[in-house]
Amino acid sequence: MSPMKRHLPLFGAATDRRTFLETMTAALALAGVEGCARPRGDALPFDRNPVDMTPGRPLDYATALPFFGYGVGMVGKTREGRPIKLEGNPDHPASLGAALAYQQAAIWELYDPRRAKIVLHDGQPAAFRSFLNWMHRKAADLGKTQGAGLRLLVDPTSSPSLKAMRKRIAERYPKSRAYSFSPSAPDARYRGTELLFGERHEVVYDLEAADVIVSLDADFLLTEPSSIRLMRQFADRRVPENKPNRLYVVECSLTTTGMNADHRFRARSVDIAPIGYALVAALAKATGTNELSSSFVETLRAASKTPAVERIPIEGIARDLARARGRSVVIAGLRQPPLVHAVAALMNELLGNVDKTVRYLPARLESTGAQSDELGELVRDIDRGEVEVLLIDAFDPVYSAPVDFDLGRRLGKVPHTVYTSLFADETSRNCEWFVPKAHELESWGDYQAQDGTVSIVQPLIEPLFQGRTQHELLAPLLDEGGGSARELVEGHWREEWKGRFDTEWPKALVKGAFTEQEQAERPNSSTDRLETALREAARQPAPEGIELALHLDARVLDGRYAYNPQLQELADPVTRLTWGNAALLSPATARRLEVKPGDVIVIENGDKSVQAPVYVLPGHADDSVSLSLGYGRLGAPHGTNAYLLRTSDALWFRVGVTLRKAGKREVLVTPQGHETMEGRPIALSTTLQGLEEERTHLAHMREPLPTLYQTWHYEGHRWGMMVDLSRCTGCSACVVACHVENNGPIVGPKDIARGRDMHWLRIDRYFEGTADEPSTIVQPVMCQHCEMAPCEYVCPVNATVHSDEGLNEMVYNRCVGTRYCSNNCPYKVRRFNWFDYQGRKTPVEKMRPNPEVTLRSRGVMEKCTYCVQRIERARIDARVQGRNIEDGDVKTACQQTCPASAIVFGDLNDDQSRVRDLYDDSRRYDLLHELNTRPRTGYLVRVKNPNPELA
Amino acid sequence: MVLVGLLAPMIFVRTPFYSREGYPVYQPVQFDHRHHVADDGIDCRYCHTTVEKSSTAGFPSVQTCMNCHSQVWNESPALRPVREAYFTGMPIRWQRVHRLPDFVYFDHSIHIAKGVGCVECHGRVDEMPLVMQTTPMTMGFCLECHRDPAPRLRPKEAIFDRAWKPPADRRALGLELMDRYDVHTRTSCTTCHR
Repeated sequence: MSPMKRHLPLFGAATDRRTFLETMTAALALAGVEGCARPRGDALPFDRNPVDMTPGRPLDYATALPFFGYGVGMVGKTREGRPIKLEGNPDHPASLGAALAYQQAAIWELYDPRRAKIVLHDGQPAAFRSFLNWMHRKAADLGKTQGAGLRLLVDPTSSPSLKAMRKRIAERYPKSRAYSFSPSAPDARYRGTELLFGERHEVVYDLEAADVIVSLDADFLLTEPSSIRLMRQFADRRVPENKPNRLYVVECSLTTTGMNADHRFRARSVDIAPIGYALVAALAKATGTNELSSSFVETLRAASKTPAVERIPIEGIARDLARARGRSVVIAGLRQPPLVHAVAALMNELLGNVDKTVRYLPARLESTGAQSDELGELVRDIDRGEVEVLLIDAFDPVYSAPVDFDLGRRLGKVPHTVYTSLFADETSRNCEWFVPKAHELESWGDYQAQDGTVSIVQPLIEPLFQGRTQHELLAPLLDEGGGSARELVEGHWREEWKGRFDTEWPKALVKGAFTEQEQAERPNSSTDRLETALREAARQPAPEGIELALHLDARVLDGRYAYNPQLQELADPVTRLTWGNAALLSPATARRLEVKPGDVIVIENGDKSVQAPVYVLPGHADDSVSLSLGYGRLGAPHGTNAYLLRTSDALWFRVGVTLRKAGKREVLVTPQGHETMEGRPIALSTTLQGLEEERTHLAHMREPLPTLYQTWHYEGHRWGMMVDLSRCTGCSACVVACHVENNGPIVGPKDIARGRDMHWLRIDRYFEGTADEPSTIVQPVMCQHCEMAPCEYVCPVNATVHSDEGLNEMVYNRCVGTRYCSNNCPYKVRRFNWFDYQGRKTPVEKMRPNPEVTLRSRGVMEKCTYCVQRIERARIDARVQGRNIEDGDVKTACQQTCPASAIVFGDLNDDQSRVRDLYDDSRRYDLLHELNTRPRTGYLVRVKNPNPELA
Repeated sequence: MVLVGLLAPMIFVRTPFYSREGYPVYQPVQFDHRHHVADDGIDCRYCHTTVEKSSTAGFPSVQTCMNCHSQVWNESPALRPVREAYFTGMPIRWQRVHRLPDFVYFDHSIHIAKGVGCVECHGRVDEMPLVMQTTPMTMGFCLECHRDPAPRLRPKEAIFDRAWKPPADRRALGLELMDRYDVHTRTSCTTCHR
């Protein structure tokens, strides 16, 4: 009997049949009505009052996420005990408050119901305790042989506590070996410093002071370590008021960095090394230095005799660099071999850039050599039967290791293998033990940034699926098994700080970043080793033929983020492709091979081959085919698995592949159909020289045109947003940040192909100039919040109206789905829910949405709202405190995450606000100004800084 | 016939049948606000702790009940579900009385900060043996006040005072309070619908 009936009987102690029937009939009649009443539901209170957490208000914790093994400080916003949004930690030098798409999408990875949930032993579920017991037994056995059969295969990490644990393992098991492996490890740069200085150093760039930047195949704005900080520094020096820098890029495929170059030159990846050598030789002449022997310069010249070099204005670039001594920097990309990094470091020496735009610090990532060398040693150990127990804490090695190592088959030869990962993947199928990994947002840990700043990783939520941290996996080897993740990390810092722990630990947790003071190193360079390597390079003939160029991807990096639908659906900044990759060819090469976009080609590298659809990319180097790594995974099969072509002797590029047509076609899934602006003034760009003239032209694209309608005078706040095209690099972090903040749905490749992309913010990419040597411009487009919005006039149910502060409001509960508003919108920024994308959610997915934003069902239109939930929260907070909203209180999600600070939002009626400064800037223009929509979003024309000498 | 078919539901949702105004809601444990508030003099905020800080007023946890009831009436059979909930960790399934649709974002703290008393929207809870909704809580009800807040405001000291009697000229007081508390009610859609 229910408690209610027990305590509040509807009927008295006794009742007769007549009353009973009367009451029941009435109840029955009313029950029908009761069913039509407004639903209420249950209220389930807490059992104990939660400490610190106020229901309804967010609580922020500082933590960190790894990027290339280095730490990026983040602040996790939690609501009611669960993280819902990540933002950069403003106190952390590697994030400076910003974050890329990779970090913004981590929330989706955390709440992914496909994550591994249970320990597997030979494919059967097991308890973690049984794994611990087994490990303890094995540790005891291994101890007897000093660890002769123990091998670790690990992701190179900067984590001080993890490195300390591995060191203790090496001490306890002296005959064991640890090999580090990551398909995207920056080891070429380390080995470059080894070549030049004799030992490994961390190369930390600082673009604040750089007037001239030369990138040798370095996508330093996106797919390289410290890209967030570098993007901020780079963008800060792009605005005309800040004495703009000049960027030269030499690269194979068009990258985000290449799109932002003032001068971009294309060359096959293999030709970039000779270009680098030629540049050193030219620089030696331009600077008039006597630091290099003439024989060395001769060797350089001999090593750079290729046709590719002749197409580049080497002398002009060298002169520009020489004019900017101490204020320039040469950066070599991770894809280039160590020799290129060494000559880049040499150039920085010659230019006096050391300690100004480049610093050498102690190496952060543990690694003893080249990634493929270490993996090769492991393979040899396995073949010799020396491996008894193999612990794998690396990114899916069976998928991402060079294909000639055949790691999957070799793992079968190892008696005992242990693997930890977030998802079941190719490697987990081949291992004896599979331990689900705790997500970074559920873990205790620590990371170092390139410059040495340490951040403690603290969990924002208890592990959802009983995942284990990396420390917990290694602990049983040290008799520390059973220790909690927290104890293992705290233990390390107790050791480090000793008496200071009680004051330093809470400070570290709150601030999220602390620096151990260290001196920058001034290593001594010697060109002897370089000269030998150069002579070797000069002896080899310039390779002819088509080159296969493998790249890190702007969305899934090396594949570790491929399971994240948020990143799969994000359009690539350059190709605008989603849900997969394509074989990128230059227009000339495509013509020569007689292939069109969408034709599937077979790429053969020796006896290995893959098939991929062709994408003709203007600006790609001729005789080179590019493929992004990271696709074609077991659980994320979209796209082509480029790792199948990756061999240990040529990790990033190899000349001599053959291409032939497969005889079929494939749909390239992209939300952008147009490549050019067709002469219309949409995304405007000018040069520093032509800026003054442009300012007068732009005046015509700012003033309001005559109208018959009455205009409204905005008394209070007048919200507006300015997007500076000089700063925007096209990285698309804002797109993901907006999507996560506003509970945007993922629709999948079929609907993207139908043009049903649900991203409120899109980054259009346009080509100008010629197809072979294009200039590229990107433009973020979101709802312009027009003061005379075409969408507001036509809504039959007034679901979209204008607020008294200038926002174009979207009221989801009124919308009936006529889609007339989207029809009328000239910017096409409105998104329609064709299906109920939010409907079916697993319990874990239900934890993910931001509770401040409505979930939209089928038939409802949505669009950028200028993050109205953030505006209202700032308003309520300010008004409760008895003050007005101040400039900087409201940061839209896109503005907050932008590493380049390209988006500024604020009150145009506030004379002191940043947005007002940009509004008054004569670089500003309105998009589609001639339609007189009077948009609140303005764009500032991009100003490039080409070298007048190289015109 | 068609007209009736169209008009009937439109009228229905504007009646208390739909809004449940005036219907007491039976609860698994008969928590009597008359006793706790009027008799014992407990302030609203003792249990509804976050009303001044957050959008939600806060539902008291079982620990809050046990603050007193671990000593007072601690063997009463009427309070058995409370003790069970505390020790097992399984919450009592209270039936919600006031519930706004999910697409309405109401914030308590701003209303408290601007002089809207609890009684304005929730009625004399201290006189209710079982809590019931005393106002329609429709959008029209909210807009009535947002369009004309003056007759519905009270001094901040009196917000939690259940028995506060407004002066004869409530509107004059309200206008003065609007000035003092800097009240600018908003009627744009995104004030509540985001």
